[in-house]
Amino acid sequence: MSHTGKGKFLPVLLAVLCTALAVILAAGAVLIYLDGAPRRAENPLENIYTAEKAGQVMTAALPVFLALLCVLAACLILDVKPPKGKGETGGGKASPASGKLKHETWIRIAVFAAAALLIIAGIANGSVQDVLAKAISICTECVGLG
Amino acid sequence: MDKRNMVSRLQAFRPAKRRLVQLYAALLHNAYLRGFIEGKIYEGKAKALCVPGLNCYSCPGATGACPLGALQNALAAAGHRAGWYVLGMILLFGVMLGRTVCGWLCPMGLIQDLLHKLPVPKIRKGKATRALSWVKYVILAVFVIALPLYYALARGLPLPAFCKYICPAGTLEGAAGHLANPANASMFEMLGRVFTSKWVILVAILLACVFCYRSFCRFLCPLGAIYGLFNRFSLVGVQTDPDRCNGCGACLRVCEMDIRRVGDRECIQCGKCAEACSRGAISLKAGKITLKGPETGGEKKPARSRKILFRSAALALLCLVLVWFNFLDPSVRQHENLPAESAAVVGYEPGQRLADFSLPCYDGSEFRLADTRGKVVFINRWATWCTPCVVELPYFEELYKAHPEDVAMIVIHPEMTVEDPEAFLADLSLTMPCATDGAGDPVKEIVGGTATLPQTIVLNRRGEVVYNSVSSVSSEKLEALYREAAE
Repeated sequence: MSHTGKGKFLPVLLAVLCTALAVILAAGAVLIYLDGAPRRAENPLENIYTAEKAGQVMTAALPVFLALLCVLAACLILDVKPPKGKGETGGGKASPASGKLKHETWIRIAVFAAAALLIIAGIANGSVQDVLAKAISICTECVGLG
Repeated sequence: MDKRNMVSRLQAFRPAKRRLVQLYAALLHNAYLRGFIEGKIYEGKAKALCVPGLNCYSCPGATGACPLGALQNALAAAGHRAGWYVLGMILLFGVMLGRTVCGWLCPMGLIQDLLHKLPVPKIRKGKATRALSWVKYVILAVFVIALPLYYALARGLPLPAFCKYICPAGTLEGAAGHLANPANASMFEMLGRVFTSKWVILVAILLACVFCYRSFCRFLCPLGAIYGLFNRFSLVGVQTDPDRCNGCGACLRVCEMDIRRVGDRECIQCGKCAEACSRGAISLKAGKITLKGPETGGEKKPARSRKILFRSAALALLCLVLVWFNFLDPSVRQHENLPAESAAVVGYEPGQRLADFSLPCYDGSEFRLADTRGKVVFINRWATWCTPCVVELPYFEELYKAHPEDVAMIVIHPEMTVEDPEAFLADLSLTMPCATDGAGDPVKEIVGGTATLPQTIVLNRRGEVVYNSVSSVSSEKLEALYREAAE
């Protein structure tokens, strides 16, 4: 199927729909921000994003998403394979060596021992508690909430 | 289409063994399924354990700590305590698994693999992608190591720069994971520039993964860059038998990563090369045990009964983990047993009256909420490791100094500390009352606090809540809140 008309058309259509969906989602967020930022500058209590505005972007993206699902279903039914792109398919020299080091067992033992020592030192100096303190809390800025 | 053809087509949809392992690992990484329903994160002690893959610990389902996030926070706290534990865990995962973590266990790897299944025209690897594969080392050096260290040592600010500016796992699992739950509708208040930029980055990365195999993993992921350094001596990994290899290069042609040879720093040990090798020269091994590919050294293929036993044990472990994290963990049960009546009598929602509490302050005084009636009260929950919390502390101090007679204020650090908050605040020369919450964080419960920081609560002169939100505040916003509460 991959060499027929459908075999070429459907992957390209799917690529266009994926790109369109991404553009809608990204541009939607940027537009909401550009719209809301000046209002927040005037009134710090004003929200830039609201569930309604996010819903509007999702609603705009929904038809594209549904079309994407339909095309994907068609690809699966017609057993369409992705066309091969230009560029290398492999490259480099085949190497008989696996890339493993000569004294890998000794290096492994040494690193393993170092890891065990560091973990024990971490338990002793309280850095486990540091990890826990951070892991059970959400820093809003760190996850991108703001 | 005859029946045989139909059966073979359906068999093509059967997930590969690696995909099943990836799904299994993703479930183990995010076994706290209640978090997705309730819009909260798991707060049990098991979360001190680092997981091997890139999985944001702010994801509602996350049961362990992300090694990359923990590493950045350890570096950000380098001024007072060395993060030996995180370094040890990363070394342990590295020496045991190397980039097998990327190929078999990482939830972000699974998402990228699934996106790449979409049958669109693909960008194949070449010189450009090989050059781009070095970018992740730059990101590791700059965003994971240099920036957190610089901000911690030179400016006294905790800054997990990779999490804040790039990490798509944080945006997808942490931010979007919480925003998708109606229980967290108030979180929309805090969205602004940071969210917009991170959302655009996330969408761009996910789109790139559709066209170019594992774009994030290959070009941007610093955790993969770290694990790649261990590939040459990790316990689990692909191995080549030089006696069988004829150097045909089929392994390199079938591989979609930017490898130069089997098992190098870019290899995610997926084992595709073992399937492609007509000479049976490549196998995925754990020490001397062959996991994939032809057995060497006279070892026997595992019996069917042993396979069934192994799969049953894996399934039983998954069930046990799911039941433990969702129903049996003492920290979850403790959360369940909180008295519901207390919230009904006094509340923390706007319009409700906040329950009285008192806390001993660092300056030796006692803060009693009951004594603040007639004043506008600001309560701020913060932590030393939280960048926006630290950044906004001077704004509270500014407001406190601007309205000394009319404003009562307290900034409260959670009971669990990474470094001594009193010593931390001493450098900032704050005059407003500062305290650490009591055992079990009682004030957190009173103000309806969650794991999310910073949190600001504003009370009017009658002690009624007029504002209660988990978001950063600016100086202007605090002044506006003061005016609103003072009316």
